[in-house]
Amino acid sequence: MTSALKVAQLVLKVQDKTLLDRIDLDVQAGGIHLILGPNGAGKTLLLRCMAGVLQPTSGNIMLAQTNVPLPLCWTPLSSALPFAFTVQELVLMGRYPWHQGFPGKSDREAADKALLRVGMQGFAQRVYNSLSRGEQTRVDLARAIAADSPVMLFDEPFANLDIDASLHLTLLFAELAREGRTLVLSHHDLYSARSLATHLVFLKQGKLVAAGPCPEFFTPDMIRRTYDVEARIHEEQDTGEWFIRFQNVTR
Amino acid sequence: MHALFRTKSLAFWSAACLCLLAFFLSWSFGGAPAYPWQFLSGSEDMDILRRILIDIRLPRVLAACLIGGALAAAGVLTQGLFRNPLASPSVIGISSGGVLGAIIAFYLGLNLVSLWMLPLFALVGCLMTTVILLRFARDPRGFPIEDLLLIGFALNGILSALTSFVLSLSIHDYDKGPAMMNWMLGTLSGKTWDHCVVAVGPIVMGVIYAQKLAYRFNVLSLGNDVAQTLGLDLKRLRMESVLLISLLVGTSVSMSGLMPFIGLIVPHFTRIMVGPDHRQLLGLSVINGMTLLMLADLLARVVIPPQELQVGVLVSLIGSPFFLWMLYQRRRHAAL
Repeated sequence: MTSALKVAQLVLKVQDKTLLDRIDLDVQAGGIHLILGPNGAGKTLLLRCMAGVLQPTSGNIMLAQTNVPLPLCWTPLSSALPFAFTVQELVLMGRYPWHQGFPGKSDREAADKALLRVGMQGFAQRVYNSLSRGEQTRVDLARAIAADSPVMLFDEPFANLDIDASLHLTLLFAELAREGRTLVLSHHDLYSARSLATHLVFLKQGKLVAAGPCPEFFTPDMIRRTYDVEARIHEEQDTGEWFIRFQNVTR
Repeated sequence: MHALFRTKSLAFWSAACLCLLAFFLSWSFGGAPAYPWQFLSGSEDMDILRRILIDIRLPRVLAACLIGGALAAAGVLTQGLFRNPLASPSVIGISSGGVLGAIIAFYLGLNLVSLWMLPLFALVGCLMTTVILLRFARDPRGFPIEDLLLIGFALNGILSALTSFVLSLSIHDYDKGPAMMNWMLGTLSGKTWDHCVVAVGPIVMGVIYAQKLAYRFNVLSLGNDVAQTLGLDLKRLRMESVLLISLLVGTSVSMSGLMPFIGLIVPHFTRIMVGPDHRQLLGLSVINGMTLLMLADLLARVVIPPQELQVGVLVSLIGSPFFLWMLYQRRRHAAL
């Protein structure tokens, strides 16, 4: 497997506080890589360093060479825009590296297709700020799809979605991964992590606990080391179905 | 908020027609009873007519066009740069920087040396203020409007105090003092073709260059992080914007003194007409800015003849309640 992105000895310090501590990571091309960890573990910071928008104190981020206009696309948590852009205008902005400010027919088609894929085709003329957070997340995803990058980074993409939209998004992420794209997501929900991810990255207090393929690395031991909770995973041998239960270690 | 006009070309043509009408009205009416159609009727006092309409009123109307357009464009750029619809050169202190620069030039008597001295000093004043603002506003998560307004409030306070200080040094100088005071209140009176010639180059070039950058402000509104990963060179865009805003505001302020709120009102109304896309917003704001200042200047000339109101005072009287209304609307929307 080839690397899409490599992180080497990444350190991020703010004043005296070390927020990311010597992270080494090899994000292989293709698949869905979930960054898991408790609040304050440094998931978003790691993603922002990977995206190149946060300058690490030391260490390197290396992105595989590609000849596409936008090698990496970064989608932070949805938030209101300062101006009342429509959904279509916003998705077209994702094509900026392609059209450089002069969107053409191919860009409009790419934007329409992206909206169709996230199920928001009927919202093209709606004002982005008037949408619910969940709808905004889907539009942000459409912008990322329209950008057509081989590497896509998302910060908590499931944070504002209802169950129907979550399931739709899970299928869409799997589809994008099958197209050969590399998706790196920060994620909170351990219940859905196992069925979503192809690779897991566990972070705790800015340090890498472990990284590896899923479901092999989705173990009670890894969860305990990362979250300080006991997990019990039950898997039906016949059907392959599984479920998980958690208990706080201190109780 | 949906665009008021169904098509953008309809909005453009409506604004252009209104602008032409404002131009004609502003050129036609004033303190003296002289009208352009008198040229056609072969009036006896053709020399006086030419003197009033071509040498006095026309450069004044053109100055209003240049200043109104430049300030509106600067408003669009400022709001785009700070990603905030409440930012405008006068609210956040950039205009005050220009005023201080120009008043220093006045005090040193440099305005008599060359017509270029006032714009140059105003440009430096605007440039320094914008750079200070940008030092504060470099926050990757966006810049809260409250902070920006507070910084603008503080900068306006400091710059106004310094301006008053320089003004106080000239209070007993009967050559400089009244002229400085009159200029500071914002006036288009006494603008000549020479003033227009000095201003037209920087303003037209500035607006054309701003139009080239327009789409980048759309991308910037997605946030610094996203804009950066989409390949936008933030450092360069900031630098170019600072220079453009300073050039436009500096040139305008040096010509007419303080014309507050044009950079706030015009982009806001233009957004209602065509939506927030900076490519249409900029061009149309320039047209609307020209219209607004021409009409305001016309009003200032005809409301209490033969005296004239200061157009800057008039614009402030319209602009301040409008700014309060915008703040109120913002709070109302936040509460919903």
